[in-house]
Amino acid sequence: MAYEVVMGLEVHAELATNSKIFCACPVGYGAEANQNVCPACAGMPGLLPVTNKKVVELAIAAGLVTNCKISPVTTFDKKNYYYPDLSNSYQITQLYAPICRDGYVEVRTSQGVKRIGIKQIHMEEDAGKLTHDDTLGVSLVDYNRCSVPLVEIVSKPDFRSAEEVIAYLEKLRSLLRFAGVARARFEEGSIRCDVNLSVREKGDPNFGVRTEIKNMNSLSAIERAIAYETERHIDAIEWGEPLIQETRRWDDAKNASFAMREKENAGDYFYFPDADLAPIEISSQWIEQVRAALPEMPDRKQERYVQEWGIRDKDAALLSQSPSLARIFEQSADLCGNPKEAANWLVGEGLALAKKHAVPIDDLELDPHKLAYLIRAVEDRTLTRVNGKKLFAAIFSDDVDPEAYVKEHNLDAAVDQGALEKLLASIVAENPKSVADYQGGKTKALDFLFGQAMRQLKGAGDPGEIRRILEELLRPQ
Amino acid sequence: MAAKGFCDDWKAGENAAMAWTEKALAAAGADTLNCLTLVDRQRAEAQSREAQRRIDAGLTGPLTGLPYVAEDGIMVEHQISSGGSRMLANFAPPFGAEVIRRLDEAGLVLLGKANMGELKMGGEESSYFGPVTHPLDAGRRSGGAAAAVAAGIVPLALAVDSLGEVRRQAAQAGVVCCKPSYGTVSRFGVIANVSSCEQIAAIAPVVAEAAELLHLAAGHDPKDGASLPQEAYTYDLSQEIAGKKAAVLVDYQTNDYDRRCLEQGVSLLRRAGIEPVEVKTRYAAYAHLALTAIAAAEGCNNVSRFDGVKYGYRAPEYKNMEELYCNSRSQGLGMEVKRDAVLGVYVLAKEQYQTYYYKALQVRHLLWQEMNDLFREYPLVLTPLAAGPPYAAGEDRGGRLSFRDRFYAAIPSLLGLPAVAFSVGRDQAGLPLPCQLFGAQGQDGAVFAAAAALGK
Repeated sequence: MAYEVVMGLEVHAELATNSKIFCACPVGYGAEANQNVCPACAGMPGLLPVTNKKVVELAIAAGLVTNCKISPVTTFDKKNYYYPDLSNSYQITQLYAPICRDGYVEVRTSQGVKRIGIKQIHMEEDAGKLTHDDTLGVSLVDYNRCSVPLVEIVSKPDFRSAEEVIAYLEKLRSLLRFAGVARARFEEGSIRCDVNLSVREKGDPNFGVRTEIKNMNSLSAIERAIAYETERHIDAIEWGEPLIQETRRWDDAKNASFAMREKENAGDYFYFPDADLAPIEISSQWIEQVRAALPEMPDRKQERYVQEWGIRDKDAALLSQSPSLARIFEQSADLCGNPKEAANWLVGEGLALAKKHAVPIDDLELDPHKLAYLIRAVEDRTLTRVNGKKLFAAIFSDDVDPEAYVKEHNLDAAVDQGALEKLLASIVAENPKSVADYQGGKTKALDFLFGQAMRQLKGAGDPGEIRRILEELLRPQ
Repeated sequence: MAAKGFCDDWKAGENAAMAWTEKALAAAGADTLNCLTLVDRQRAEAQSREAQRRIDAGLTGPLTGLPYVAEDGIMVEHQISSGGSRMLANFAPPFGAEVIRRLDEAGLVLLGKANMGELKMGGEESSYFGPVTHPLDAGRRSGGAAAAVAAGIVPLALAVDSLGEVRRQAAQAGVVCCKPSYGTVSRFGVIANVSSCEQIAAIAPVVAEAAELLHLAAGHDPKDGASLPQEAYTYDLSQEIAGKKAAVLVDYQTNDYDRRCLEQGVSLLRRAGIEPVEVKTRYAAYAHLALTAIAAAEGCNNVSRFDGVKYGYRAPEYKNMEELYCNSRSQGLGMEVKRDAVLGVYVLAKEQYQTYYYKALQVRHLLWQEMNDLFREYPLVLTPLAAGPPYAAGEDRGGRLSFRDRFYAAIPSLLGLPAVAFSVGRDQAGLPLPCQLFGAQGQDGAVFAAAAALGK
């Protein structure tokens, strides 16, 4: 039997604001517990929510980069449930009139390009964090995250493979990051994803029983969770076991999903409009202001790198995957005047080093001025490519000053011609056996002499020039 | 002719703000009505000294140095603000209400807190601190703020007009209650019950003084998202009223008591040159039902933050998280609050949302249209405020009567309209007969001026 998996995603992204959505508390990753808390986000009575305008603007931007329609009027609703990390015992969210609707994101997979529909994007506040301390036998609550602004991006059930899911998440992350909407980092929880998954026989127009999987905090966990859950559904179908519509928690350590407690599967949240927050009117003028302030998006960048700068499509895609990398690339290309070389260095060395040192691409920091210096020096042949790599590595890990570094490590290829000839002549004189071998037809002997020269020069000197002089010296007199 | 209030009397014979506060403190100390839950002598004396300094410097307004009380749900920084509930009996917030800040700035003296129905959800018998005795009949009940003014403990009080009960209580105690349009006075720092309806109101012996208190209390506050943009409010009580028409809503003629209220109200209107016209509406009879559904939904949500986790009452014994919630809320909240909370969950549940909550919003909308049509012809509307005299001791246990009388008070609450409550005469027992005048949103001055023209 052939099966088809059908998935829809709910992606939560923390908005990149300085303050919370309904109070003035700062938003900060990694602050000490309960430092970013005021009476409002701690759920005290008498406090009233006041909407952070920046949140609305970022949500509009999220809608624009995902091709959504922006609602002319948007309202907030309250979602009621009891949990100690929810200070007010209700969450302010949007049910009846979300800010964005009906968009799409184009993703590229091994099967080609596909459009994934966006059902809606809505604004909401985050909850705090509950920590259970088993040794003390207590639960501790941290309200720092209470009222941190989020957008929830709800896709249509358009996914048919984990590959599409991952491609979509990477694309969405990149769009949100480029637009300045969100930091969108799985490792810090500033982007989170729930997967709604069902399995049906191929060709069946009806959906199967759906389960929702939560608590995956990396792309690879999402991939594994999808594989696990798909398998579980297929097994159940094949063995004729009933599947229940439920929410399941992914346990990464056990590599399995588990049904959440019944309470957490409560179906009714008693939604109703928030009377303290007046409807927000979004004029077309406001939307255009947000649109005008949007920077260039990754698709457009990739296109421009290829068309205007002649960068290979694959490299252009790599360079436009993160705002910081794209910025480093564009600035160093401008400064050195050679975009192709800038691309080669960044893709060949930069990404390789990042991978080797496990630096996330988003955290890559390279001074474009230093890169441009390096690229120009190699072009001018004052720096060999080999020494260029050394310099690149030093800039990458220690942000060294390239000029000082070259001088200090004697990397300058512009060695004095007379001195070079003198050095090479002495090497030839000290190695009569190699000379004889070479002259006897063992051309490999030249490599030995070349190696000797390189060792003594410590990488300075133009390798082509050294080879040329050596050949000259070895020519039978 | 303008009615005479307490404020001038209060000042008569004494020439120092400290003496006025001493008088109030003495009266509060001798209180037998249980109308106050807290008297803060230290704060009051410090404020009265500061007020005197201003008076001596000539920097005074008409209310500078006068003592007032605020209902217990209006929070004062670091002072216990319990909203009449065991849940918050020891709760001292780290911040205070905006309205208190404004009155502090205006040089008024906050004497203490007035008793109130539990969290505004309960009626006359529901306060954790016990019921308030009626100032004119020891066998009957009243509200803390109304009683404190009527008994002469203070000349002024602030109260939260949530479901209209403070209007009824004031009028039945023989004082006035001026409720401004929704969004006029900041609700910041006020324990919320019905967020979409409630508004801080002023209680005083006469309209002129209540309006003066509102003048000081009102104005835009960025901390309240529903606060109107207008920076300041003044009320012209001398504007021409004679010749205006008032709609007398016959929807509220249900028994001898409310008929008598209307009759007396009509004769007061006539005397002031206002033309009373009997009007029957289509939707007024549904206002209290819509208000009940909306109040239950919003109230249930607003009290859900009282969970025993962060502050307020926590049950001494529990075995797990669920018991912590259940025991704390079961013990910390009174019966009428629980009833409203259950009702709120009921009207918001998926299965009933359309039938009750959404229907209530539709009624509110229809009533809004009908009232605004009515206001085009009749800038004033007169209704009674109760089906009978103030409740006898114990009579409102469970909140049945205060629920009944919500029927009369509902429209201004539900639509956020300005209203004035006052007595229109006396019943056979000599107790005040309660009525209210209300008008279109934003017409606060005209409504207050009309009540003032009736001699209130």
